[in-house]
Amino acid sequence: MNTLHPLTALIVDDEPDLAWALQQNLRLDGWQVAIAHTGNAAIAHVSATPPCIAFVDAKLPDMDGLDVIRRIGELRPEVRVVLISGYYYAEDAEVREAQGKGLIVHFIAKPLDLREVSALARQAADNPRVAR
Amino acid sequence: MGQPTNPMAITSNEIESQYPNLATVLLDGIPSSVLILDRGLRVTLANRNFLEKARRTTDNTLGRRLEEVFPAAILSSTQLDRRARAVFQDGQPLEGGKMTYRAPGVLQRVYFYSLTPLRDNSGVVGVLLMMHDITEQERLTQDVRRIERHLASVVESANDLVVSMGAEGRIMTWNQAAERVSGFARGEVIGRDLAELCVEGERDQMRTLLSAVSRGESGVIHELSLRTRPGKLIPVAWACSPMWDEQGRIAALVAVGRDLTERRLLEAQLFQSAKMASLGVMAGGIAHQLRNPLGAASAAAQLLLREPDNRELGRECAQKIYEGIKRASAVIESLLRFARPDGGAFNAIQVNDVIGDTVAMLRHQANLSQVQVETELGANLPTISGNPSALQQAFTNLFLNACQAMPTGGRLTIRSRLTETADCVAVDFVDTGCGIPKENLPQVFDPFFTTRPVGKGVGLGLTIAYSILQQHGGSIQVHSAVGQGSTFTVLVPIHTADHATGGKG
Repeated sequence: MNTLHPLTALIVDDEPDLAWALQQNLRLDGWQVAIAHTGNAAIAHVSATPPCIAFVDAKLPDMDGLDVIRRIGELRPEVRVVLISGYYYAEDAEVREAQGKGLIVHFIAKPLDLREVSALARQAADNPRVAR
Repeated sequence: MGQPTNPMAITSNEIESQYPNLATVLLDGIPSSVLILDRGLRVTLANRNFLEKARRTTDNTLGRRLEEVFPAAILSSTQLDRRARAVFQDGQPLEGGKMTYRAPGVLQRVYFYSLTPLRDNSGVVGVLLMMHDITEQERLTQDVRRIERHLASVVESANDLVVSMGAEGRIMTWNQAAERVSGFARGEVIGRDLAELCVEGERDQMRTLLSAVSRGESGVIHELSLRTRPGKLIPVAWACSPMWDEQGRIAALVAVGRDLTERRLLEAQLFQSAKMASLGVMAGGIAHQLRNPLGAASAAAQLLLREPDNRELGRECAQKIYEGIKRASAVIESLLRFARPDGGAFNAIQVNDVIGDTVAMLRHQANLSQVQVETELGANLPTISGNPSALQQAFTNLFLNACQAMPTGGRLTIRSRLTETADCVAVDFVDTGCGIPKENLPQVFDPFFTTRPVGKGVGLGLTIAYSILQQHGGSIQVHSAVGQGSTFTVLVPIHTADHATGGKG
């Protein structure tokens, strides 16, 4: 039994400036933060070094964000995933389905509230999931 | 006489002795009426033709006075008696003129008559009245005049401008439509060059066109604007052709022009509606495209508020905020430019610039449906004559159409190149989508043809693109295979000095 590194996060967004701001924000909270701009890069990163929490954008240049999340769920179900999107709304069927299946722990709409991001990250750090 | 005499020739003195009945044969054989009058204007001879035409006999004609033989009305209108007396007096022949004569029981006939003095040694002893029946010629002449009047009224009442010119290009006729559209009356333009009435920049094109026609080429429709009397510009589609005479020489040039004002107006309205419709299709992509830079700026601003004292981070945040706002402004700018109605002016433009603008505006739209957009732009392409805004509309419609063919993602390749014949610039839109079934191919450019569900498109996108390309003298071709994708190829003729946009009439 090994726990995930407690304060590691992954930001998956093809918008570099937004990813940068999220990274800076979480670093100020004491996190180690990696960035992936594509779905494939995110999947590769998760399988090599699974983070405690991943923030995944719904629309990525190479893949649908929800497909990336499904893949992460298969590879590393212990990773907490937060869906971020400027495209979906919280009440959309796709979002509710992903939440119902436990694929995502939360959904945040863009533009993001950084305090909400910090709070979600802190919750994850306080209750780390155990890897199988 | 010094002249050599032909043994076969006979003198007029010998005629009577050799051919005693010649005069009678001649008189009765010729298809004209002949009378001979004496000094008292009595008929001394009437040929068979006269007696038949006038329904008379020798008994009631020979020895009778002129007024007994001709109705009083004819004598008073022709003054035949007075003229016959004048011929007796002067000894000069008289080409009389027309005479309308109606004998009892026959249709009215028209004659051309002449009076010729007959002499003996003492002087004029008789007057020969010859009457040629010209009823048929008269009828034909009247028919010709009627047809001429008919044709003239066709030309005059035509809604198109009809201008005829001499082979050297000077205006000879100018119909009512030409007067109405141009504001110039017939009298003001007769003898002038049609080119002088064109707008300043297009006069040479009209001269080139007319000189080609005067060499016997009758060609495509050319769109050249007229400068009206009040100074307005009127777009006109001209079809010019030579008029040949019976010897196969060019006798005149004819230019038929259609006023395109109304049509341009309708097209502009249609393009504008189509733009608005495609903005609706793009709305999702546009929102996303705006939200991304705004989201980045918003996050950077929050970071700046969180760490007011961190100057290093603060400077970086301010930079990101500024970049985000700039990017959002650029999106709005390109949208406004796209949505704005334009004057439809044609310029020499680079097709690659139009592709660039189109892709910049739509790349996000494509990304939303996982469509990768690749461009392969040909280097050093010649310019084309085009309206950038209209062409961008056409490219936008082809782009969106390609995306809609790939609902689950794919690749759209936009390639620009010079055609093998080097007279056109080609732009290929190659998608890896669902393809178009063979039976649908002939209809893809038809208005309101769509395979999308109700509410997802009205089926005007490709129609509009086609019509825009037609306006540019170009075309769109489509190749497709179900399951493999489609290629739409836009062809636009390259810009030349004597460029003409064909096919607009």
